[in-house]
Amino acid sequence: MSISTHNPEDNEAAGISEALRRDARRIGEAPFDMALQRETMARVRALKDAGRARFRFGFAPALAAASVAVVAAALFISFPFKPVTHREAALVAEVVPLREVAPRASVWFYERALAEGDAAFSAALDRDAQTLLPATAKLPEGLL
Amino acid sequence: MSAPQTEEESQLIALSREGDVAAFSRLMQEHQSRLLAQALAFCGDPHQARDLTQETMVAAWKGLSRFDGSCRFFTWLYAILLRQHRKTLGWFSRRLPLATLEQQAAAQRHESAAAHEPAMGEEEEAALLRAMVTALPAKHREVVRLRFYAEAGEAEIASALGISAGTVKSRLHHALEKLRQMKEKVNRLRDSRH
Repeated sequence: MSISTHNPEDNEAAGISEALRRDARRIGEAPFDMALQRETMARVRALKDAGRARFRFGFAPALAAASVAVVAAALFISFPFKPVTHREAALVAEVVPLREVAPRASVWFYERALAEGDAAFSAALDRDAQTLLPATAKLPEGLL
Repeated sequence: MSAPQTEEESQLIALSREGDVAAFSRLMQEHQSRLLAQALAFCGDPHQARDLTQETMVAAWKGLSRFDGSCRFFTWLYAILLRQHRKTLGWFSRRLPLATLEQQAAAQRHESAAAHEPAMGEEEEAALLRAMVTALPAKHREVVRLRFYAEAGEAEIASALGISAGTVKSRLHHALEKLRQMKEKVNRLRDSRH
């Protein structure tokens, strides 16, 4: 005697599957709706145009923002981190004596003067002698 | 099972992705009739079905970049249709009250008794079956519709819904089991009539 392992529930489940397939076949296709197609495509076109406009108008603020950022960065880099205050400037003025700086004698200066002639060379020597050894200065001892 | 993606369809999809509205329109022309018929089967109301189909096509345009070709284009569209339908149902999308099914059965019992017909007609059986599918929890309803009404394979359903093939198999099994139990209940109600 053979024992049947057949489950009646399996049959019912298969029956449900078959009924679903039958129903799907019954649904089939609806007649093509031209008005629906036209309305849908109008919405799609509007969406596309809106997207394009958003891109166009969205680009200008982005450019402006980028420009502002560049200018701000340039200012930040060039700006002194610790600006000199008026008080600090005054202190510097007190400490550092301001005096007239005489033109410095240089080889180039003497060569130029020599090229101009003896008179110019003597004038150059005199000018430096006046700065280095003014008439009011004491002569160093033991020099004479 | 409906035909696999053709070369022409692949080209239309590629063009649509690049923003070609004419190509998208052509693509939708191919699927509109079937989508509309399915939407009508879901809601029963032609106006609602039309709105649902339109929302599906617009959502498809918006999300076209997400279509990766791992399932047929119609399966992907169908999954969008299901989501849109769920959105329309709102709170009821999770599960329609089982009372709906019982009311349906009671109404049919009454009609049958009035007409003195011993058995239900094919149309009535179909209406009852759809009511049973509608009474399923949303996650079960989706796999049943994709499997039997969109004729999608398990792997395709998994791809369209973003779940694993194992989950599809399990949901399908539970859904069919629930449908079987509902059918049993309806049969008991019918028997009690006699």
